[in-house]
Amino acid sequence: MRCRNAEWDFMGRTFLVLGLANMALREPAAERRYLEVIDAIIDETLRLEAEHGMHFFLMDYALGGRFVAQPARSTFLDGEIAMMLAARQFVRPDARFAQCLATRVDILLDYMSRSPLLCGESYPNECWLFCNSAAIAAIRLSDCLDGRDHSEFIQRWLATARESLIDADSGLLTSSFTYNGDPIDGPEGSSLWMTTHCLQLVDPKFAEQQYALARRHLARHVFGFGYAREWPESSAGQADVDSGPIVPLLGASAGSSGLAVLGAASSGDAIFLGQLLASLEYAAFPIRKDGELRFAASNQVGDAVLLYAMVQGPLWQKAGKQP
Amino acid sequence: MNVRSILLAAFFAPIAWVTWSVLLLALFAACHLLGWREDTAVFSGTLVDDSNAMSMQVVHGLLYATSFLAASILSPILLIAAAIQALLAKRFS
Repeated sequence: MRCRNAEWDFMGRTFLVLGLANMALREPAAERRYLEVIDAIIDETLRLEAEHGMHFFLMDYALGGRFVAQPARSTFLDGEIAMMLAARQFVRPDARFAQCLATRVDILLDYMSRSPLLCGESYPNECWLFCNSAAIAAIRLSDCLDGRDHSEFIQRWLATARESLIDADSGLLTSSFTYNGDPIDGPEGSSLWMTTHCLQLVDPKFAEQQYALARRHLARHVFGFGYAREWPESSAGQADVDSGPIVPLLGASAGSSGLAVLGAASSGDAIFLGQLLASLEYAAFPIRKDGELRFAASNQVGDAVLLYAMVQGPLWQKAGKQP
Repeated sequence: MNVRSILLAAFFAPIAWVTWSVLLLALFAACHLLGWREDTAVFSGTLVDDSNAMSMQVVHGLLYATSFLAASILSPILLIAAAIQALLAKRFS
């Protein structure tokens, strides 16, 4: 997995921790068991980052350019690490992670607020909405935990996103752009579904609007089998490492369809969720063994996303109830 | 009468459809028994590093998925069509 894409190793950790946090909140009796795994993942991730630097979890092309904001940091890593820490703390606060989370959030705020569009770089001169919306969700989760208030920054970020990051043709949020805000890629399914999920924490109405647009432009079904396009028909793009291969004619991708399960589950869209699960069961080649389930057509990060999607609810609901 | 002669001589006969159906099921069963289900990971872009092994993974993954679709969609259609055709032939003969 790491040899193919170091990002997948990292994102697999994030979604597994988020999934396990939701499971711990759902089943308090099994909390200790889930926390043991969560802590082991977080400890190892922090150790690897400290020992090898951020490039350990980035794709090789991160070494080929210079980050605009110096000293170089990746919002991809900082945002998802903050999210992992916050999810862990929501299950049961632990003093050894509290300072670590606050520090990571401070770093995110520093880097994001320095950028013209309030978005930090994930790769050199490359900002991703997936990563920045995850960072915003992590900041919100952290505020719920430690009582700090970054709502003014979050509101500014939302206003900037609405003003500068909306694709004119579809009304969808764009997926990637340069540090100064020049577009790189248009709206991309594998980014957008996660973005709508993260927006639910900070602006449910905006999240709902974006989900409805994503549903219109990206969600499709044939005979009850659902899938999600990687790109809207109005702005066709290429297959990339996030999407996986794109099915000709349908425009469907594993990346977008997998994350659409998360989008549909967290938006309470039972119809599309049912259609996506029908496709998963039929065409993702499930393998059931010893009470475990994985999908042969998926991979470590895909399976972790699906787990998180299927146990959706408690973490976001708990955070949503906080003032 | 061997399988080839059945398929060639009576393409629109129930026996040919049943034979095709069994062949498609057998092809899928072979792919499955060879363990090629794991190779469908190519659809998520998850490829092995070695270029020779990668080519084989792509071929195996595509063959597995194609044979699965054929066995799960075409095979039952052919069997049902053969049954209907045989019943109609019996009824009107």
